[in-house]
Amino acid sequence: MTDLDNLVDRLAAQHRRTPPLGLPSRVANAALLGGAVTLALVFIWGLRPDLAAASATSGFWIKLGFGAGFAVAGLAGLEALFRPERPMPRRLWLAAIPVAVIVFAAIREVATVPVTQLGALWLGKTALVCPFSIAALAAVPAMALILAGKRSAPTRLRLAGGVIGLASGGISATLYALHCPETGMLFVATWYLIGIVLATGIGAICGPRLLRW
Amino acid sequence: MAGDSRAHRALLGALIPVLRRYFARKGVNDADIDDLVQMTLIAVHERGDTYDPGKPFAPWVYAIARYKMIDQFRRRRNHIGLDDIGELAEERDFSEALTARLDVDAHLARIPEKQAAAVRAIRIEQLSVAETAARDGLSPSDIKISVHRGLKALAKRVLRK
Repeated sequence: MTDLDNLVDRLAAQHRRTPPLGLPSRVANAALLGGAVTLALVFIWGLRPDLAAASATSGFWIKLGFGAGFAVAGLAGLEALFRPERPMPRRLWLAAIPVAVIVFAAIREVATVPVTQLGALWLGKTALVCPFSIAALAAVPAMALILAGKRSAPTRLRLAGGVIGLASGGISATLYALHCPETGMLFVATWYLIGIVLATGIGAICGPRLLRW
Repeated sequence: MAGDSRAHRALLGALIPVLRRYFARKGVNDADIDDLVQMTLIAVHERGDTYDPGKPFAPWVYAIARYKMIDQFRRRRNHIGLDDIGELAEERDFSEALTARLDVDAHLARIPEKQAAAVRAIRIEQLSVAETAARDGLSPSDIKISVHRGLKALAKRVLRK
């Protein structure tokens, strides 16, 4: 009894005002920090040589937006999942937007590009590297988001871990697009998506161990 | 959570009995209740910014208490995944007693019947030695010896496992 009263006294003594935007800004800061370090790594790795020319094409922006869509959906989901009340992270539905966009772009590509060239567009030159690069780069923002999660109060750790993987995979894919020279929408729809799914799966596996508080 | 230190102390203090009742209702051992209350108070204090002021306060506190309880439960039986245990915890007091009962039955089935009957009568049904002796038509010292040997055999089985 007195132990608990002492504890309350000590806690009250060190109490200070909780910033009203504490949780959302913690998630945003972690994403920005993780994204900045990832961007630096992509710079060191090397930007695609034709970046200036590519940035005039819609394909380049769809690629960037594809990853960004998952990042936004994941971060919005984390804002709910880092709270303890087991809320439904409804905003995860946002992840359907990049999927719909890339499916649409891939269908258009299949309809307009001669069939003989489709295979080359789909596999590109880096199909085997791409998913693993995206998943590996995702480790950087994931670390920042895991720290943010441990300082919050998630109670569905596996789901929260998966969504950290999703958001990190999205951030990683967005920035990897600055390095990746591929132009095919089929390529993005396949290999980028596999990379992000891979990051999500790893997050779900590690979540319960890494997020405990 | 608006930052007045006296209000904060009043809030944390007011939570103590509420949390005690919560854990007691969930079937936590008396010995563990204060530990859990302490961990919950610290979490409420440190993680206040995960409370959304637009939502009711009580579910937030209970959600933290529930997580701390499940976490402690899981740490002791680390073969159950945290995700699965969420649903399990709802029926925890019930399922715990049931598992314990099943375990005891399984072990008792593997020691000599006479010893098992004596252990069951004295230690589980809480009969006295005299009552058991009269019921089974054995001498009191026979019962005592059977209980003693039975417990020893059980201990050996459980420790070996």
